[in-house]
Amino acid sequence: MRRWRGVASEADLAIVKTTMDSVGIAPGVAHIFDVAEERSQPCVINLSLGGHFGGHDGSSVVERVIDELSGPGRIVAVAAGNENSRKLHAGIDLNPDRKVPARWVADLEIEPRMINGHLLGMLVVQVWHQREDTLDVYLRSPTGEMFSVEAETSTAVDRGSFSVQASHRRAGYSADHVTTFGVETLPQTQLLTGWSIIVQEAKRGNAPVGAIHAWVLNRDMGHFTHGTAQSYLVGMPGTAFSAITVASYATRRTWTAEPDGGRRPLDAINLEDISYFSSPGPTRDRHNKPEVAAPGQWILAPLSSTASEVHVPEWMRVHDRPYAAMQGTSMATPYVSGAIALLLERAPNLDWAEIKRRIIKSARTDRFTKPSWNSRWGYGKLDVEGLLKVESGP
Amino acid sequence: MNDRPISELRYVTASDQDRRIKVAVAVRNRPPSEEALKRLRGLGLTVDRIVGNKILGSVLSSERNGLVADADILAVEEGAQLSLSHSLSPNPDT
Repeated sequence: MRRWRGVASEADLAIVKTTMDSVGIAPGVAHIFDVAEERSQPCVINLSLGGHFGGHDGSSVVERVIDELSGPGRIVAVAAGNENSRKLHAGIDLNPDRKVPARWVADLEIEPRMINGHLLGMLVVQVWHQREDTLDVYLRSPTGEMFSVEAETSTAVDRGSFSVQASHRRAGYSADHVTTFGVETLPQTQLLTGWSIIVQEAKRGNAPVGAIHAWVLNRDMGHFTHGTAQSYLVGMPGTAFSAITVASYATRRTWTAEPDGGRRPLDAINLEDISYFSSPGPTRDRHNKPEVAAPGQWILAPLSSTASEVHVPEWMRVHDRPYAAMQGTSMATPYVSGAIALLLERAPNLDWAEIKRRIIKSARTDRFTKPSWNSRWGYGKLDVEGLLKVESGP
Repeated sequence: MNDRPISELRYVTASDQDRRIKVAVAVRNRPPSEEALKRLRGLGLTVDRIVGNKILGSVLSSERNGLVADADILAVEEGAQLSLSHSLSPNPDT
């Protein structure tokens, strides 16, 4: 039955079940490192998950916990995310030489979804700007009403057909401004479109105004329709400084599927090219994320005997064998984790900085990746054999 | 047009309910002093794990602001829902 083998198929596995709570994953990471400590083994943790809460600059407390726990023989690999085509980010670098007060508008559309039997429109947007900038941040409703919030406060308004919750705070480490707007409405109100984020200076000041970024926090809630920028979409904890953050590229477009054993071609896939979904970087503070790309499209892997038809439909299952094909940076990340496991087998005390250096040094570039670093590919394609041959650095 | 106030639906998202939330707290001292831990526990924080100057634990949502206001606190972060980085649609834009 063992038809396909993973990159490090003889590695010992420790698996922690997660509730997908961002804070909850931190003790999970700590626990696995504890298990490795007890067993006197090096360890790489695979986190095929992420979200768009936080500053996208590695400064969340959870990401700092990951940084703190990482070290020699203690490595964390994280999926970049699958939001490239989702329009979850909008932003602008304001021209410091402009003569007029800064003003920026990004339009939004809410996508209704079923929650506990109710079809609801719910949207949460977070707007980040730099600590030294004094800007007014508004949410404009389709009815033309402007909502804002005083510094370090929160407020809630109910208009019957929709409600708005707003809060402002300073981010814990960076002291950058974070304004969060939450909207709830019903599809019948026809208020799903026509929302806008507006950021502006009250008057043209002497100080330069830096970048403004906004993220829709849940990919199923809605998206920007204007003012989008297909960048800065690596989720947290993928923006953690110490993490090896992984993009996805395509290496497969057919497999023999259930129920009739026919080959399933997916013609839209360009082999060797970046996956259409693979989230681009960089981080908000312009660090190079992702670091590397690995095969992540239609990767064949063991299928759990309890996998449901909902999560793994028949067309994804391999005929007559307990395997299924799935895709995502979720699938690319274990590829890199496996490569790191092979590396740690040879040199158990390598730390994340040295491993990152070796991954970057050995990464392959070709006509698809274009020159590296770039926001989709990082430094290029993971080269496992090359990685294992890289000598110690300075 | 549905005139039913949105507030009637709030129970769906539980946004107004007092509930226990996971928090990651960063404090000034590494590791946190016994005094700081005692005070934070007094403010309702249940400590699950300490990593350097960071505390992983939980608090009732109604008590979160008390933590934020504490002088020893550098940052308080609530747990947020993450997603698996799987993409199940077979082709772009489907």
